[in-house]
Amino acid sequence: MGKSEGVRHLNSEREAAFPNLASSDYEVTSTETTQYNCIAHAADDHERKWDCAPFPIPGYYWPRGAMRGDGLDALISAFETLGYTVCDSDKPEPGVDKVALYIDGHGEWAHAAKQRDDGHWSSKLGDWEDIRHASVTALEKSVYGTAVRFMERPATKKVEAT
Amino acid sequence: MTARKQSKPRNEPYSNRIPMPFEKAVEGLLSVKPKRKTTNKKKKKK
Repeated sequence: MGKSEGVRHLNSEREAAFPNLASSDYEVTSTETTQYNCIAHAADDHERKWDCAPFPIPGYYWPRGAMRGDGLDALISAFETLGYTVCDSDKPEPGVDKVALYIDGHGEWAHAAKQRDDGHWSSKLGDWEDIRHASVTALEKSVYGTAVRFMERPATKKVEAT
Repeated sequence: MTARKQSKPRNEPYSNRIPMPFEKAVEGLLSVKPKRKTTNKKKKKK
């Protein structure tokens, strides 16, 4: 699987940050913005960044009641506030929303991607663009680490990113 | 802050976490301890 004609890709410098990406099926789906980050994008919130700090920081949000910290449990609990529960499979299922949670080499949460209706995944790359990627592995072997947990919930009405 | 923490690439624009300088500042604020009161009082001149 590789690049297709007419599909917008990241520039080469950005693509190099994700070693699996260049050889995978992906495309840029938005302009770059610092308004939101990957966790917010996976949570369908494009108004602010989601991350936890010891006290509130302007521009950042973390759900009330969710655990705080760098561990995967904190990220899981954030998505639990949205109705997600841990599941075993990343395979698309009709009427089901899924997210993939990544941890880095230190075991700390680093990224989240959400599954699209077509079974592919959608990710916001930090301050860069949103991308569609065919598999969760496309972003592995990078600072995002590895997709280690999947969560699901009954599908809700989505507002897709631009 | 540990060396392990410092190795995290949170300043990279593709990182999704709070950038390290801000985090350092936050941790710095939290680690501020009140100064100990000195017990060496000035001796009154006789």
